[in-house]
Order: sequence, then structure tokens, then C-alpha cells
Amino acid sequence: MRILIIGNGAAGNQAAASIRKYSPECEILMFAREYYSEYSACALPDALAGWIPINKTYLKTLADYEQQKIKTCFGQEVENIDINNQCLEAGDKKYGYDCLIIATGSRPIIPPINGSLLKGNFVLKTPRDIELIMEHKPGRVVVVGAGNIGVETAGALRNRGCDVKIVEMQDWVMPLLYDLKSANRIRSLLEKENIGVFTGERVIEVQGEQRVERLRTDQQDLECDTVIWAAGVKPNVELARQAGLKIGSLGGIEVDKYMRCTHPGVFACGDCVQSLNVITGKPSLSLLWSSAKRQADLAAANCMGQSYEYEGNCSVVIEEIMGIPCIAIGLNLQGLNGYEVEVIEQESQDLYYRLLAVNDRIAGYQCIGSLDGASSIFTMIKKGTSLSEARRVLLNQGLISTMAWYIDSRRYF
Amino acid sequence: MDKLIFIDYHKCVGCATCEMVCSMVHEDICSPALSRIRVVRYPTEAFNVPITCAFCESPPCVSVCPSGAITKNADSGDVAINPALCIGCRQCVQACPFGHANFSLDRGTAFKCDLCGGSPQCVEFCWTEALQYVPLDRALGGKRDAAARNILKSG
Amino acid sequence: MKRIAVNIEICDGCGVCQLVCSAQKAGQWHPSFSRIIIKRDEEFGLNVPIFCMHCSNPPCETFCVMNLIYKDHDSDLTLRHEDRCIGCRACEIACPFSAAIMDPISEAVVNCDLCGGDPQCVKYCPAGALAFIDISEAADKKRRQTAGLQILEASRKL
Repeated sequence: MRILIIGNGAAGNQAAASIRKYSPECEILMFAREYYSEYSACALPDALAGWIPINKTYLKTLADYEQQKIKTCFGQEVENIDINNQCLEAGDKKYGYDCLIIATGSRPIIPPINGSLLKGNFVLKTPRDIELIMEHKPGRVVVVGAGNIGVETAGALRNRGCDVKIVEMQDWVMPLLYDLKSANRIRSLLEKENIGVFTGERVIEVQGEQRVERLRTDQQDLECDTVIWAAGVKPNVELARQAGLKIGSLGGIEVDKYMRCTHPGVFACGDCVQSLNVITGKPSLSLLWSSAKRQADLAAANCMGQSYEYEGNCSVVIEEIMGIPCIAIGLNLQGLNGYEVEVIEQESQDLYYRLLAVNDRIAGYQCIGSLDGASSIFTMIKKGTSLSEARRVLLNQGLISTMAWYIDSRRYF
Repeated sequence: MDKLIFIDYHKCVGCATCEMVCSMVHEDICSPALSRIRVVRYPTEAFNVPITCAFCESPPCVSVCPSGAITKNADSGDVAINPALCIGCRQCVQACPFGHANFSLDRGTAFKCDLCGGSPQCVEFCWTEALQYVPLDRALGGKRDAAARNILKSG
Repeated sequence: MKRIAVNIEICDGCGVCQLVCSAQKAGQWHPSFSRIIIKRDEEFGLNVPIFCMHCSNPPCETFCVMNLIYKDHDSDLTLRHEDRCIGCRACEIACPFSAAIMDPISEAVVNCDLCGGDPQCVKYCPAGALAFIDISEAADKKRRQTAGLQILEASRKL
């Protein structure tokens, strides 16, 4: 059996590793545009901050691929997939396959505005980006976008001693993860760290002669020498679209519960697909490390003849800002738009949490100040536990003694 | 659940036919260790207890499962394990009050009785009729009959 | 395959296992360095030791952004290359049992490794609530004691 994997990210490598679990023998060929081996995108802010060396962000060496018996075609752009004849074209050569796994990942969005190509505009997606940023010697930085990547990048550069400001288009920081009240706590943490936060401002253009000199928003001009774009990422679906696979309404490759594309023998996983949300059951983009690896696991199992269903994605994002742990699990009010949401919240000097429930079912959780009990809440959200069921377990001595890990979450119910 | 595997402990001779059949049907090998139904034997008391899933109305295994792999179907009453979701933590084995949920070391997933999709083979092959797959009221009716006869005899 | 089993009816929450574990693994006598944690429920007077269950498909492995958690092929334990840990704590959240612990000194997340086959917590448990036994043996014992004996008792009364 011959399996081709396009992409050398979390999903591609996890798929290869999972296939090896089922079959130590079958032929695996991995194509990637990049020349380097797998790296951890989530460790990049740590490397940018200088907490870990850049080479530590690489997770594999080329020898590891050899050991796993994965043939690599790195630096080889796949030009075309011929799904009807089950082959793909790369560098004037044709490769036939029995199974194809598309894990092309995503890329950061840089909006097409004036000056976004000037020297001093960066993204943070690969270890190479860190080298480029450090070579540029940033002094005054504006990070555009206050998502988790934006906030982490800002914190990392602040650690390097830069003067950092964050500009966010929406009304609060991390708008896809947190609600206004919890976001305000994070905002004050960021401001304590001397990071300027400007929300509700749209970036109009980047100005400068040879290199970036200032960033103009609809409300003010920010003097800076470096702009880091963290305004979100977008699935890489061009290859799949060209091959005739269906692209979903949110811009990701459409897959069914078994991670199969709209054509037999073709699977897709990772950042490039859109999958169903475990809470709402609606299609969503989950561009997270854990989702990518879980989907790759299932794609690999299913291409080896299993029929394992994907349970749906559920986002978990943990940040540490000024040493304070912040966590958001599941959906926030914006994500639960259209549902009647019950909010349980509590606020004290050093802790804030809110639990969101829809039709009695736990759907979201945000907490600033502590990670205690968060893993139980995550379990409950994934399982679709209702508030009443959680209370029943917590009040039943027999049950709670067999599942004592729920004890920490008692304060939330 | 309209029907259940009704066990008459006094009829069971502990022959392990049910265990052999069960493992043969599900695992293609005659191995009581891989059987869903297990017989606990008390040789000194001359008493044998076949243990299988009770399909509880509010199953502890469903509550305890951290990945949501075990679910109870509200319509059929069936309690099933989805191997794709099972993380192999063995908590269901610990939580089941009967010690029914079993664990496959090879596959690294838990497994349990699935009633063979509606015709339990352990019952089919039980030659002592210790196992019966019958509606609840019939099982209870038989039991009531036996108890009544006992009372009459002693009275 | 041997694993640690707890008899929660016996555990009185003395915390000796935590101290022994911290001394063995971190060279400190401090419960917060321990890989075994006692969850205490004051409402019901419960003390339940919790530790890594060594799942077959561990969720922590999926969540680890550094791919440093792996299943050891021979022992079937969930182990990690601690030196590569960046302390992002994703595995802490992914673990349904909260059995992944942040080591406050090395700032790496760690889990129980059964002390390489001779768990010290079991050895020093004064009450005998912890046992290191084969998992199929544990299931057999349970079947025999909880279910079988109850039915035996009930049938005797008839």
C-alpha cells in the first residue's frame, strides 16, 4: 500500500506516525514545500521570547523520518492532484497512491493594504520568521490582532525589552475565546506588563520610506519600526480546490465524520479542513494543534481500514500572562450566538471564572487566575455533560469516589 | 430495555461454555479472559456466578468515562463503547459495580457486552438454561412462581 | 501488566505517598512535587489518590505541542522527554484525571512513571490502600468480591 501525505506539520507527521502503528511496512511518502523538518508552531513565541533556543522548536530530525521509514520529498511543491487517476504531480514526476492525506495547513493573513510589504512587516509562523524578526532588531513593535498568537507574540517581544502595542479590530482582546468581562481582566494584565492595548481600531495603512515607520489606524498613528501580523490564519486549500475537492463555506476543505474528502481515497486533516464543533454540531474552523493531531490520528486509522468517527472539535487555549494562567475552553458568547445562554460567574481579587451553558449543557468556560478543575470542565464539555448531571455526580458519594478528579470543579456548580 | 439476560445462579454449573462462545464470537479465539460474560466460581460453596452487563439505567461507566466513549442509547437502552474515542484509561473497569467492563491489552481499549446485536450467543449455547434472554416480566414471573412454590412447600 | 490500584475505603489521606514520591522524584519533602495527588472531598470525607492511569491512547500525547509524550513500547507506560518540555501546561488540561503535574522547579510537566516498576508510594503506604497488581488480576478480584460475594450472600438467605 502506498500512502502520500502532503504537508509536514502537526497533522502530516501525526498521520504518518499513526499509520505506522497499524502497518510497519506500507510505503509513506511525504511532500512539503519547506526544506526543514517538523517544528512546533506553539513553541515559537517561547523561542521569540528567548526562553528556549530556536533549534528546540524543531521536533524531528531528518534521521527520525528515516527511522519511521517515511520517504521525504521536502522542498517539493505538489503542482497538481489527479484524483480520478489517483496520482499527483510534483516536480515533473508523477506519483501514484492508494491513499492520499492532505494536511496542507494554514497561513497567516496579511491584509492587502498600503505598506504591508515594506521591510519590517512580519508574521510568526515558522522558526525562520523568528530569525528574520531578530535580525531586524525590533525596538518599537505593533502587533496587529489580539488573538492568542498576537497576545503571546506581544508578551514574548516585551520580554525582549521591546516597546509593544497591540491593535485589535474588535472590541476586546481575544474576541474569539473570551467574553468582554474576562477579556478586560486579560487586558489589564497586559497593561500591567506595559503592553499598550488598542481595541476597536481598524488598521488603514503602514507608512514608511524604506522600512516601516508608523502604522495608521482609523483613530491614531502609532510610531513603530516593526509590524507583526497576527490577524488570523487561513486554510491552504488551493491544491484541493484545483483537484476538484469540495471546499466548505468557511474556506476549509469539506470532510465527513471519517475525515474523508468528497472523493474516495482522499483524506484531509489539520488546519486545512473544516470540521464540526462538538458543542453546536455546526461546521467550524479549528486551527489548533490538538485538533490537527486528533484529526490526523483518525484520518490515518480510517485510511488503514478502520471506521472511526471524529467526535468534533473543541477549542482549548491556555496562556500565561504575567505569570497568571488564563484558560478558555469551548465557545464564548459570540460563538454561542443564537442560543439562550446561562452564565455562571464569580469574581474575586485574583480569580475570575465564567461557565456558559446552553440548554443545561456546559458549552464554554473561561477562567483567569487558576487552572484548577479546568481539566474536568474540559472533559465535561467534550462529553456534553449537562449542569444537572455534573451536580448529580458531585453530590453522589458513590459516584464521586470513583471519579475523584471532578472534586476540584465543585466550586463551579 | 424490554429484554434482559436473566441469570439463574442455581442452575449454573460453571462450565465456561458461555465464556468460550463469547470470546469466539467477538475475538475469534476461545479465551475466557477475553470474554464479555465472566463466570466467578466458588468451588467450596458449589456456587457459580455468571457476571454480565446489567445495562444499568444510569450506568456508572458512562458517568466515569472521561472521553465520552461509553454511551447509553436512550431508545434501545443499549450501553456501548465506541473504540475510536476510548483512551484506554480503564476507569470503566474500576467503576463497574459488577466488574463487568473488560479491557483488551492488545487493542488498548475497553470492551463490554453488546448482546451480540440482539441474539446473545452465550444464552444460545447455555445448555443448563442458567442464562435466558427474556422479557423482564417473564423473568420475574418465573422467579415469583419458584418463590411461591417454596412458601407452599414449607408451609 | 502491573499497575497501581487504590482501595479508597482504606485510604485515610495521610499523604505519606505524596511525601515519598516527592523525595524519590524531586529530592524534596513537599506534596506539591509529588506525582501522586490525594483529592480530598470534605463533604463526604473522601480521600482518593490520583496518579497517571497510563492510558492506551493518552489525550496528553495528542495535546503535547512538543510531541514529547510517548507510549513506551515494552512497558506500555506513558512517558515523556522532560528536558524538551516548555511548560505550556496543555497536557495538564488534556488529562481528564489532572494527573499531569507541573514541577515547580524544573517548570516541566511530569507524570508518574511507576518508579521504573517498583512504585515507592505503594511500598510506603502505611494503611495498605495502594497495591501494585496485575490489572486483570484486579478485575478478577473485584468481580469475586463485590458482585459474586453479594449474590452468594443473598442466595444463602433464601
